[in-house]
Amino acid sequence: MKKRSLAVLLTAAMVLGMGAGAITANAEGEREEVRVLIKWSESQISNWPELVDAYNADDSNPVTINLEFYGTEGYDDKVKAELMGDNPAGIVQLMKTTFNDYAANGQLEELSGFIEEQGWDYNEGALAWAGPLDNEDGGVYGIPDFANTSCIFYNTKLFEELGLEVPTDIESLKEVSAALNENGYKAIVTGATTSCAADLLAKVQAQMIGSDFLLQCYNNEAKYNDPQMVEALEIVNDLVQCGVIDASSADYSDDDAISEFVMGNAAMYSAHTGYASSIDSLKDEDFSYDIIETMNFVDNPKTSVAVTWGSMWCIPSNVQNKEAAQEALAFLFGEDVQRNDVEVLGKIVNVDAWNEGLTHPALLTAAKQLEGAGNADSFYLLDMVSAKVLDNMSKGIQEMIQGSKTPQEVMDNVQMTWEEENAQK
Amino acid sequence: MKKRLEKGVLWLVLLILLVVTLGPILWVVISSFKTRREMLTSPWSFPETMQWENYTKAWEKANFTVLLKNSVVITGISLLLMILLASMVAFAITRYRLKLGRAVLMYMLVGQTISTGMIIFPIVIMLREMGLDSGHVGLILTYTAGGLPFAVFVMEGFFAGIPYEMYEAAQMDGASELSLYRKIALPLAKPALATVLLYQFMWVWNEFVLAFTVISDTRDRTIIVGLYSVVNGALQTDYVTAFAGAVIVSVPIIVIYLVFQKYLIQGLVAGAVKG
Amino acid sequence: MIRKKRKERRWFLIFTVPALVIYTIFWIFPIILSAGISFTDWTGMTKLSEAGFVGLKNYANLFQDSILKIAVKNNLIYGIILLAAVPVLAFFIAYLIETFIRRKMFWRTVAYLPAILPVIVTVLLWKWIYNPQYGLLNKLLELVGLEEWTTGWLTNTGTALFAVTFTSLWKTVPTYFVLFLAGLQSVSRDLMEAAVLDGAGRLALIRYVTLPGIKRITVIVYVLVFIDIFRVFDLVYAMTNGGPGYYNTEMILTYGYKTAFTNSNAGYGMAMTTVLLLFVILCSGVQMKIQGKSYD
Repeated sequence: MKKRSLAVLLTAAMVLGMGAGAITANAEGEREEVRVLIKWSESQISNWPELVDAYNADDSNPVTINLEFYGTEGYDDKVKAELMGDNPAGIVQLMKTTFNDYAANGQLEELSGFIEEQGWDYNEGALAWAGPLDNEDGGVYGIPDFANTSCIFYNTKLFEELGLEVPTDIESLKEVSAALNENGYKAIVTGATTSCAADLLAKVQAQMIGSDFLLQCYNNEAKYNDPQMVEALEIVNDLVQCGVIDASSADYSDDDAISEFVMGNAAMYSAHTGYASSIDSLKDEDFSYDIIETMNFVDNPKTSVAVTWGSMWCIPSNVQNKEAAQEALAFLFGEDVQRNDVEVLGKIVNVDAWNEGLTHPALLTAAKQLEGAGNADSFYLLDMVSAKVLDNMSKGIQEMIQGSKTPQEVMDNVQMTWEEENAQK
Repeated sequence: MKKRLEKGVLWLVLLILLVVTLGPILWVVISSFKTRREMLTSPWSFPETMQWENYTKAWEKANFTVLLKNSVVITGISLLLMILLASMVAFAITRYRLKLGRAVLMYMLVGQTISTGMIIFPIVIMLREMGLDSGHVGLILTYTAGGLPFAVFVMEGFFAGIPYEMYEAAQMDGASELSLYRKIALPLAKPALATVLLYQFMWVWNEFVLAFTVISDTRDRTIIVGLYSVVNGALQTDYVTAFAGAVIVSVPIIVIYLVFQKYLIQGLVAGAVKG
Repeated sequence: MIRKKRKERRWFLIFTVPALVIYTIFWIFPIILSAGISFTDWTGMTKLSEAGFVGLKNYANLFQDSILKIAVKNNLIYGIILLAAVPVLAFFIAYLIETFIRRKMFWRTVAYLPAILPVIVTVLLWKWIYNPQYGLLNKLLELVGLEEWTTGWLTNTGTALFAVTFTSLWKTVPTYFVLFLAGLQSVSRDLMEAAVLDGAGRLALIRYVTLPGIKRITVIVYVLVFIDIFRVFDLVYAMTNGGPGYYNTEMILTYGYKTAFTNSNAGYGMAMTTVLLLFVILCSGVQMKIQGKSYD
């Protein structure tokens, strides 16, 4: 008797599990729920939950939206697990590196028709960027979010107190840094244990060589350890050697670097403008900062600045209800939410007309920078290489800052990793 | 003289033990009541005022009200299944002493070498294919399966110590096989059950790689995954809140330990040591 | 007699089949699946059915992988430290508490506490201890005047592996301490007392009575620690994720996982885990032998 009931119990458990997937589809007449997987933590788009709640509460809206913030490093693996299945989330936020792979694999919906339907007047540069690395027919596989530029933040008050000029090129940067060091301050800190190490190279690389070269490397028409690339990294290394980039950065995550910056121990923080919100959340009332508007690492730079759109918001091609996912995407990147992002978060969005409300000083500067950066060479190194190469690059540059590897060795290692990766696939 | 020296060394060792194990843990508890600034500037002092809001903040931020329920359900059901199934297997092996029994035992023990890190990728694919990726069923069954090797190992060792005559005597009185299992084996095996329960509770409650990857909906997450998301913030780690979350998550497991600890050694002695 | 045998066999199956089914499907089958995937070029991004068979290519590539070499080296260093330290320390602590202490319950709990905390909490705790700016360890060093020793313990490429290993020790020693505790309780008191009456010294007592008495559990502990060495995953995943610098804390499993998930090369990643598992099973055959004996 008992064994039978046990058997029944077990089969019931199994069947229940099998059925659970099917049952989640909503009953007739109810609004479909669209799940949105978000890599960021809630604090990075803190205005969204409220806006979405209001949207969900209004029954005239076609769908309901469920924002799922992960905010963790394991997110990319999590997304992969999700996309392998038959019932993925309606919208996923992808970082450019992983996005490239998915777009190339045909796993994301093409969205140019959708954008046209919505009548959004999108920044050309942003859309040129919205496909895989060898995107010949210019497909759009995700909505690029906020434009960020690779930048150096500086403590305006401290600069004033010490009577320092804001640097514009390497020479003046070195002078300023020497003065800062003499006064007992660190010049530039960065989070070398995260991707901000590679960001240092990106700053110089875009100006010196341009991002087209990275595409060539990706297509095996050029090599990452090309003399030009090594030279770019030499410039970074030189900045480390003479104390411009503080050696303590080698041990820092961005958390650590930002706290050094906002506590006033370091006068500058090197990252991209996306980190402004983290600085804002940690700084005291009387702390003020801006970004260095022009910083030329080489003479006659190819571009004034390297641009990243941070992340892409995509609809998986195997999503079950495409219309519902599009409705949600249309709301999240429609005028209301985007204007709110500009006003509340101080983000720079991709429809110029919506950017009027910008007040954040650092981002006003970034917006000014962006005007000169509409060309293909200004794309951001971090977005233009494979995940493994980026990982290897960050690690190598960290070793370089710690003094255990030369620029040549770092770039040789990158090239070797890339060749190994190709061989393994 | 020698005795005093011995005593001195003993207490020195114990003091080191206390500082190394309990020290950091106490420090986390104390820090969880500080403000963020206080923690950075005066790491050694006691909090000036108790910041209870760290706890409310952690509770809300990680949505612990819902996640706690998930964790209890997942841990409860998988432990129940695990103990039921493992005790049945252990009973069958020791009671019938078939050649087959030995083979089954070996087969079960091989699983001890497999870890979640090894199966995480295939299990995700598998559960999707089976439609077990939403809700908790897939996770529960995986935990159950993964816990069986150790559970069978301990229980088999314990059951082997039950004198065969007890079964035979009961059989004379007309007891069925099922009641032999239920009325003789299980009650005698209480310490082994407690040992397994404690060990596997620690595993299931604390496990985060599977739970993080397998469960898709954030509302279905376990409490540990919730904490992981607070702790491992992409841009900033709010340590005081994270510490408060850590304390909340650790309390149930410490309570369970204190309840079962007197059986723990007993079960291990019989199960693993004599075996 | 035969009827009895047949009846026993039937009951045996009734008791074991439910467990065997669940165990096979959810614990053994994934391993078989990953072994299968290891012979394909599957990226993990498309449908599995579209993957192509590549024979032993993935296995051949294992020998050409410079990162894997680093991971194996790290894993071995980590393993040797654990194998050398864990059983000895665990025994030592268990012995002290069991032999000299009257309030055993309290001290057992103190010594066991790290083992029961969730890995995530352990990681959170030690990340903070090792922090370069505000870390407890650095503050402690400053307090005793060793400023020049301060560093970012988890981010310094020279110290990271040892920092992770120490954290692992902190958690692993207590886990095995309990096993020794159980072992020590089963050592015959009579034998001890007899030896004491014979005038045996403390060390002789340990050597000739205690250690032989816990031989079985000692072997088990060594085998379990050995298995644990190669299963190390979640601690590293959450603590450093293989960094800093050139994969200074990368372990075999974390690299395998990364290869499958992050670098989209499922076939190759599965080849790594399959080889690792076969190796561990082979080595723990010793354990099987020992446990097998208990059945007779």
